[in-house]
Amino acid sequence: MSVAGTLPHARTAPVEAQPILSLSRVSKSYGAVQALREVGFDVVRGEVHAILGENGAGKSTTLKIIHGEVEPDEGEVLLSGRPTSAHERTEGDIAMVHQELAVFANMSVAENIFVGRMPRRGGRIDFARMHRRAAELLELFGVQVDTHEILGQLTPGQQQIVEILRAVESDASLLILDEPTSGLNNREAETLMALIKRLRESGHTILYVSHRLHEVLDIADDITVLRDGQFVETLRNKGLGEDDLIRRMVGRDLGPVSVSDLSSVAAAPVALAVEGMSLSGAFDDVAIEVRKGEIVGVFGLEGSGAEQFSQALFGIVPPTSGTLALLGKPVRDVSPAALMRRGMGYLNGNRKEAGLYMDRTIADNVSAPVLDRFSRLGLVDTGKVDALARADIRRFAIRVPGPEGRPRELSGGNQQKVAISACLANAPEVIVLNEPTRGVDVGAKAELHDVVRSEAAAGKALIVFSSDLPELLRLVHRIVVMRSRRVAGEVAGTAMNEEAVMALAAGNR
Amino acid sequence: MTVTQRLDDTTTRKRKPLLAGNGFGSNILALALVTLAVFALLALTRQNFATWQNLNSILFGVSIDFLAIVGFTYVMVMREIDLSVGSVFAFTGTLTGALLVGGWGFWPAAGVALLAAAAIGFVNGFLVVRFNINSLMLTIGSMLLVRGLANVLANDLGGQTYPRAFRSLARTNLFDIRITIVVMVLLVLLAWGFQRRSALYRKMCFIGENVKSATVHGIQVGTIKILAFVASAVTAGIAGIFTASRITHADVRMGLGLEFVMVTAAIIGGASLYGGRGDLRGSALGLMLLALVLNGMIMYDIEPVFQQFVIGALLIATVAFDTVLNRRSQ
Repeated sequence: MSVAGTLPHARTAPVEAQPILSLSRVSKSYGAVQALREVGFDVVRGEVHAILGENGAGKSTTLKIIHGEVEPDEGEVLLSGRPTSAHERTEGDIAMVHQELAVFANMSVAENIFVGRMPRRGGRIDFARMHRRAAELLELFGVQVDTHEILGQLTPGQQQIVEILRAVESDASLLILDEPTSGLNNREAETLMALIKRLRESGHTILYVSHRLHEVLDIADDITVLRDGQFVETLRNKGLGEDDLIRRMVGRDLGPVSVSDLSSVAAAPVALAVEGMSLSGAFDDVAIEVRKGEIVGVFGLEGSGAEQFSQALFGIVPPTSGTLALLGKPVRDVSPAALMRRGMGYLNGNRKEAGLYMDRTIADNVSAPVLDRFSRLGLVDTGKVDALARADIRRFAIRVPGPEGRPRELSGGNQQKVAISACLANAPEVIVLNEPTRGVDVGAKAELHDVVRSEAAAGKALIVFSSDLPELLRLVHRIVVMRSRRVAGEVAGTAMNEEAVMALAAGNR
Repeated sequence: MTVTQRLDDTTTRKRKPLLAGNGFGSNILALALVTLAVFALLALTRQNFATWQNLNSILFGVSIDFLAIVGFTYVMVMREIDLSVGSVFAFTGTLTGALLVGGWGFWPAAGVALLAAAAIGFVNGFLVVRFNINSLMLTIGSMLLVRGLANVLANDLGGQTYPRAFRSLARTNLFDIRITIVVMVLLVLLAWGFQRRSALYRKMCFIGENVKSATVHGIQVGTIKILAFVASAVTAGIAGIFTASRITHADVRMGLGLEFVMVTAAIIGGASLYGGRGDLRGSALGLMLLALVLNGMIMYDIEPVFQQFVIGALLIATVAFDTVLNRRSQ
């Protein structure tokens, strides 16, 4: 197959006028819910085609229909001009990389890439050849990983890349990538962007779904926008800006970027003071101060220790040394239960991992952190629980039939709103937010940002950890940057821009 | 794709039927009906089944086992398991008897034995919480260890009969009914309220469903887990004391295999190996159902050795059913 120096399966792409994939008036309902209504668009061979839309716009249903996992109620899916059945498409040469990782954590990188198709010699797996070819693939895409490395040892971003290489290696002509960068940090996302560009050069067609507009603008040739299950427009990516896309996705303008104003909070009392905090093997000697009404961002690339710092801050992994004072009072017992009692709230970076109970009702979810407050003599006042859930559903505009709904039935954005509701249930004075809008669509993102700003306006102190730098820049007053397990510096006011933050984070200065 | 319809506050609040689960219990109505059906079948086909004496003896046996399943059920709610219950049951009962034979008074003897049980439960819970040891394997270890202790005691006693006062304990009546039956009824009623309303039970369900979420929400996971393991050992111990009194002498076979009856009954009753669920009322019905099945086998003159086979088959069936159910909800 592939020889070092050339791309795998490079096609001497015959320039066909025929689109590789066409959807024609495709409709699909689930019960009473119309997921797609007469959606139709073409994907040109050899291009990167992005699909954009808010959660619930119909992106996942569209992808599932294209990949043949779901049969449409009406309409046709044509491959190279030929109508196909769902079964043909599943069996055919379409490879899909799902949003969630599907890897074998205990197997090597090479085994993961060649899973199910390991090269053989005389009935036995030819490990030497497999590793050699895996190494060639990795090198081609500029990924520096040993092919013998056990996958579970890699960062989520590296694992994602390995999974994509598996799809590339499968000889598919159409590659579907569903939110491939949602779990990646900026550097990894850039590697992935480069990889996608090289795939296009080698003649692959890529269908790309992402919430990150700048990525889409960076790599897509065509951009199809869906809204409420309907096709809005396919745009040629020329001279487009993020605002053009946002307007089409949400059908409205989202308003200007907020202007950070530090002067109003400079005199406010300090709500959270951390000094000399260390966690052995993770970060050293971190100090941070957050005033009431202030939103402070913490940014760090993977390995900077920012993530571990956020967990230590809430005592999930107790720090090995350092002091922490909440509202002027030193806290000796740095554990989640104790910190919550003293007025701290915490949002985990991965809502499914920690923050939600997927199969419990919304009422259960939002009341979990405040059960004691809602109880007398150990008995829960279910009326209060219900009232809280209804208030949260209204405040955060959670799209759910009622307090009895369950997170598993909700879209990512609505799940995140439930997780935030639980985080704020105890009316915390100091709020630690991790990736508050990860895997969330533009509309929900704006709503969540409004929540953060209104908490700050109400005098709460917020500290936001995010790998989404543009988000931090428009949301926070100042950014503390971590690098190599320490605080590298801080940017604020007019000096707060992407270049300044990256210079600190990547150590160019 | 989700339903994006949003209902406002005018939504009528549905009143739930009394027996339906509220998300913190399970629907036990179906189980009650099955149990009733087995009961009716035996009553209609076997003359000597529906006698006062036979039913009383079944109910008495169930009521004692029930004491042991109380803590056990709530350990399962938190996605842990305590397989040492049978051994702790035997150890506590035998230790109480041994101390009585040694001339102790009943209360000091029972008190010391229960403290010992509590200590075993604490060690189980502490090791699970502090070192994150898999409770299945850990409690298989403590099961063997404690069984060893119980056997040493039983061998020392050499089949000696316990003092008369202790032997009569299990036969204590309240309103002409065995006291353990009265206690079972009271505990089932209490559990009803506990599972509907108590903050503690909800926290247990949260821990069982997603322990990381529970931690982030400030629920004191470690403390609650340790408490549940202590409760499991103590309730097993209380049941063991009554059983020792009932069988009147030290016996190395006491409580053998009880843990497997417990798992089966608890899962039949709505608990899950995957945590987040568990219902003491259901566990009671599960024990009742198993007892009826075993009694029915005797009624039909099926070899007693076959009982083991049936318990094993039922255990596999319930665990398989539990797993399928859990997978479907994923």
